Amino acid sequence: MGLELEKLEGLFDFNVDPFSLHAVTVPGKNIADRTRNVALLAAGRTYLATGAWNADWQEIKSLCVDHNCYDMANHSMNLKKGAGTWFKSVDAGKPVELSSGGVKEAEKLLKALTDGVTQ
Amino acid sequence: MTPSSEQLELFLERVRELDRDLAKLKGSEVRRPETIASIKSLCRDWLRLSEALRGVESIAPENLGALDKQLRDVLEGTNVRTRSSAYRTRLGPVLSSFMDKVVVPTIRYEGNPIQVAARQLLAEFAGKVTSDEQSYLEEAARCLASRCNRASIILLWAAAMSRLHSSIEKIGFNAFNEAVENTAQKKGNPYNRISKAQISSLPELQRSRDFDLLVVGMDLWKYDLQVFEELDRLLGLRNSAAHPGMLKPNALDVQQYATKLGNYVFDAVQA
Repeated sequence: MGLELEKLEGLFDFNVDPFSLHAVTVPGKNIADRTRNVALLAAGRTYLATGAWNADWQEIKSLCVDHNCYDMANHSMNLKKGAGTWFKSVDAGKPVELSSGGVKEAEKLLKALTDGVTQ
Repeated sequence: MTPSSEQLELFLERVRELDRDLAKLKGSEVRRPETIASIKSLCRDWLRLSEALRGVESIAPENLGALDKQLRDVLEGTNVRTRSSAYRTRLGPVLSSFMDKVVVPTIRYEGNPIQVAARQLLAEFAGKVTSDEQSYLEEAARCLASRCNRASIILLWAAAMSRLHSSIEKIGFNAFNEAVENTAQKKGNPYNRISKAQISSLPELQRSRDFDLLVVGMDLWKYDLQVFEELDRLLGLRNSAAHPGMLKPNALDVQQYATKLGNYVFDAVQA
């Protein structure tokens, strides 16, 4: 991923088991944008834990609640807008697997956030 | 089984729908049997959901108690002549608090990284285990979700041994005994450490040492010495987890243990 451990420590709390995401400001113009960015962050956490770029559906929902971008009626639709570009496919309740474009976007987002966090 | 946040969201949608229907009656008495039946069914469904939600630590029991009382009052209203406005008054607090006091805590519970790890552990084996093996794995996942990591490792190993035992039953005890003889003829470690006892039944197989099965497995399932050594390390970790000591595996250790068993046992040995 090309990120230094020190910078990742600013984004993830490695003192808890399993490690979790610190409180961050998720970028995005609107709720749909932020929801998809949350999915990229969740996928980043899974990648660090297991080596697979996918995001657990329930973790995305939970992080969206925490980051004030959970829209019950449109949550699935907001994620589905990223299907084919960032996500390979989006099926409600199933893990969201990132496409190669999604992986690049997630790396960019993690880098931007760690730079912001550690500056 | 704990209700999912999706089930709770659907329930909330039903409450909203009922409230909309009641609003159309403009305060008059509810007489339609279909409406009364749907009020009863909604309240009974809640009482079942509420009972199942007692194990979710992020939901305060007093919040469930308050909702129980509110919906019991609604249910009691169906036994007497009740105006739609009276139902709506009792449903009001449910509508205003259900999302924050029930749905959101459930979403947080489901999205907790430890619950995520437990689901990922199960997903590791999706499509490659039998129902017997699945029951061990589900128990392992429950242990992980409860932060009983040593217990989770032990159950993962039990699932793997279940696969080896069922494979031997399928291949036949004669073939297994032949493999034991072939292995015993080889010189050096680890071949000279196995018991040469012949077996002819499942109970005898269950009494044999896991280590012996792993060594004989090189002949039976054609994996090499490196895979054997990795499996032996996994057995060592299982044994450490099962005995007193300072080992403190974390959630990631358990997940990695599961991944290795998936690769070296469940992918390599046919059910």
